[in-house]
Amino acid sequence: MSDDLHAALRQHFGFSEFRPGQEDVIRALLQGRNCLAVLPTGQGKSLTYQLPTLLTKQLTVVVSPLIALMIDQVKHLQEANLGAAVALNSELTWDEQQSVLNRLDKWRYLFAAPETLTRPDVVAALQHHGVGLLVVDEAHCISEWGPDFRPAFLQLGHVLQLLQPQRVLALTATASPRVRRDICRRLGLTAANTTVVSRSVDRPNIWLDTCPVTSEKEKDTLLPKLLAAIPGRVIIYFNRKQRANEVAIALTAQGIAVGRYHSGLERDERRSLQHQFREGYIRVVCATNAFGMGIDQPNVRAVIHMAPPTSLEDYLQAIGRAGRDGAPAAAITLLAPGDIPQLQQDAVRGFPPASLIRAYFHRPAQFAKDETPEIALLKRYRAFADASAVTQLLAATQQTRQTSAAQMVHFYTAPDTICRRQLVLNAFDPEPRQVHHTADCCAVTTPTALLQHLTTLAWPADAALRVHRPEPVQSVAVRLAQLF
Amino acid sequence: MPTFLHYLFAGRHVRPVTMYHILHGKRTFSNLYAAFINDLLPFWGLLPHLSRPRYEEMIDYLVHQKLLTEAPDETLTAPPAALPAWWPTHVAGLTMPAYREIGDILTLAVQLISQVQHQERHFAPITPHLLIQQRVKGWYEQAAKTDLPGTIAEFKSLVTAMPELAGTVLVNRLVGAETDVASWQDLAAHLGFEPFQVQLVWIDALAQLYQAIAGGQAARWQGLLPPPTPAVTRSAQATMQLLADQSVDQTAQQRQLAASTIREHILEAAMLGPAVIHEQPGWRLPPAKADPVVDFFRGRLAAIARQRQSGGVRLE
Ligand SMILES: [Zn+2]
Repeated sequence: MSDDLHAALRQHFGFSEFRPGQEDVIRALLQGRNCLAVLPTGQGKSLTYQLPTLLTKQLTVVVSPLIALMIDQVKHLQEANLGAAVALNSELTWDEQQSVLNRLDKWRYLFAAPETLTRPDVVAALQHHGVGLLVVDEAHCISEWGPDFRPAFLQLGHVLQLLQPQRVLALTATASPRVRRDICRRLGLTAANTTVVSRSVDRPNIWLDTCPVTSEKEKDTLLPKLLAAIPGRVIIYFNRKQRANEVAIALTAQGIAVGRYHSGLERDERRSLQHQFREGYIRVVCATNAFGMGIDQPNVRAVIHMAPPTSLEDYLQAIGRAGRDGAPAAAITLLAPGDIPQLQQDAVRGFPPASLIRAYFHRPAQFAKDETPEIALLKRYRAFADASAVTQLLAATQQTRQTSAAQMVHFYTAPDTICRRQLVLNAFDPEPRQVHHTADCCAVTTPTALLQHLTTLAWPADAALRVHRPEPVQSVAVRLAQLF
Repeated sequence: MPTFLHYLFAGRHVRPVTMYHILHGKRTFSNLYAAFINDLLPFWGLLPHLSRPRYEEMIDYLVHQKLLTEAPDETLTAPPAALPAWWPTHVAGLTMPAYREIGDILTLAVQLISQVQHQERHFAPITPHLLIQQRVKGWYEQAAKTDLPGTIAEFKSLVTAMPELAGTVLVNRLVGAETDVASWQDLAAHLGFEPFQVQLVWIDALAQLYQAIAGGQAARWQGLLPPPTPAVTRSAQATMQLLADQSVDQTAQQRQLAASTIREHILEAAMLGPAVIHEQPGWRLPPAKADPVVDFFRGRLAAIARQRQSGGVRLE
């Protein structure tokens, strides 16, 4: 069987070796067991369901929290020729959705949001056809103890009972022990029928740096120096859209090839950005913390946070985009005096008080035109629970958000002698190893020391970067010649 | 975008909510009538994705800036304004398939041909719409595959014949094997426009291309796009056929519709049909001043005829 698996890996994916954890997950699934897989970002999570699907030739349903994530996966499957894939979502018309459901035999992968999976017509079609494997992607979204909690995921337990898939795979990159327990409980995964495959969240090739500065302005002057010191692709994270725009414009003016990523991009603009980043026409992507950003580029050399993320999970998710090729990479946070108070404020904002929850559930119609964040939140929750359940859920979510923020604050403000990597491992690994801290592990530095340290990293040569980005707008004649 | 809205209101009397419905293409008789009588039919369904809060924000801004003034009848108006730097001239939303749909179909067809030309084996269609994928695939097998050079040549000559601005925006929004879409921002920076204006140029270019293809200027591409839709609904057409030799009341009875609906059908045909329509004795309407509702109908029918005879739709 081991030889069969490796032959399939070579034939369909062109790899000679599995990445850590992949083979254990696939083996468990092929033995008919459910699986909870906690694999760090960039470790080829999707291969763990693609290979079993190719071998068993049954329908795989993938539940995914975001349309953008689904589109990227469907596109990837189409480009790689790994079987017919379709995302059942609002991008398809009703007729199109029905034609998919009427001919499920034509599809190997069906991607859907949890809300879609609970629709009676979808349930009926899937029950009739049968589901070989049900994958819950970003499974930590099911736990109100995780900062990415999505209420719609709560319905998945019920859906699983209705669909009775042959196997269930819950995938996540970061899950604290408490969130893991939540995932298993809500999806009905028991020790008897489930294999847990878990890899440490540690990414030893990424140097973790926190760099306190005196002001936002100092960040702006430091950033170009950092980009000059980092030879290769860089992703910069912001927590405000306007700030991302300003910095992108400033960097462009300095001759740096910059792309902007945000959740409002159109489909073909996302595709274009990803393509240009891959081809090296863009060296730097400025992103607002867009969960599920479809950039899977192995040789990103650094992730820079211009503002702290809201949780350690977010931080891990973001820095996990660096150094996927295993070569040295850096995760840098520039921290101004106002950042920590802002982070703490953001953690309590947007939660409706109990009185508002009661008022809303008593007469939801009265709030039809209300578009405040608090009411928008309640509108999302209303589909899943009643007032008292929502009050409880929101209290838990709010507590989680504040705990997460506190954890993040601790990460940034702990004494310089504390190893940051150890803090991360302690938070996520069930049996964290003892980190052997060195200067290449993590640091809290001044800007000068940061720039100095970047010169000591053994950066790989990045041959793929192009100096000139092709002109984005071309004449009619040039463009037509290029198209055909 | 505020400039665009300002110019749409200038010299007209339209309620803001009606303008919103017109731009959204929400087909009710009163929206159609308001669009017709204000020469707004070409802009029908122009901005189907414009959100209501965003629209109202812009209206508030224009009122606040005193560019628009509110009349007692809740319409908004402004003195006739200078034409903006660029203005659509080919849009005709009522008789065309949705611009988004035309754009998706065309983009996918070009992507497919481009990838075939570059011998790229793996094809990830730019649009997820299965019906559009089927349509393009069917067209490719039937009309394009057998004569790819001819198909490409036809497309090139169509686009090359367009005004430079329209052609530039159109081709830069297409994707191919080695070709990325230019973002609205990139195009706007390149042309010195606002991104919204670039989107308008794109929509107008699509309309122009659609009309050229529907008019038979590129035979191989004709089967790709859905045919034009008649502006007068089938129901109103049926009514008009019956009215050729019977009264309004008889027609209402036969069709099991209210007489007021039959009168709306007449007005619809008068606005959107091929010919100007005047009251016919055979309709056997009550005499003038006998029924205020019927007199109101007569007033509208006459207004429609005047509007059409005075040169119809204002096309800047
Ligand atoms: Zn350390």
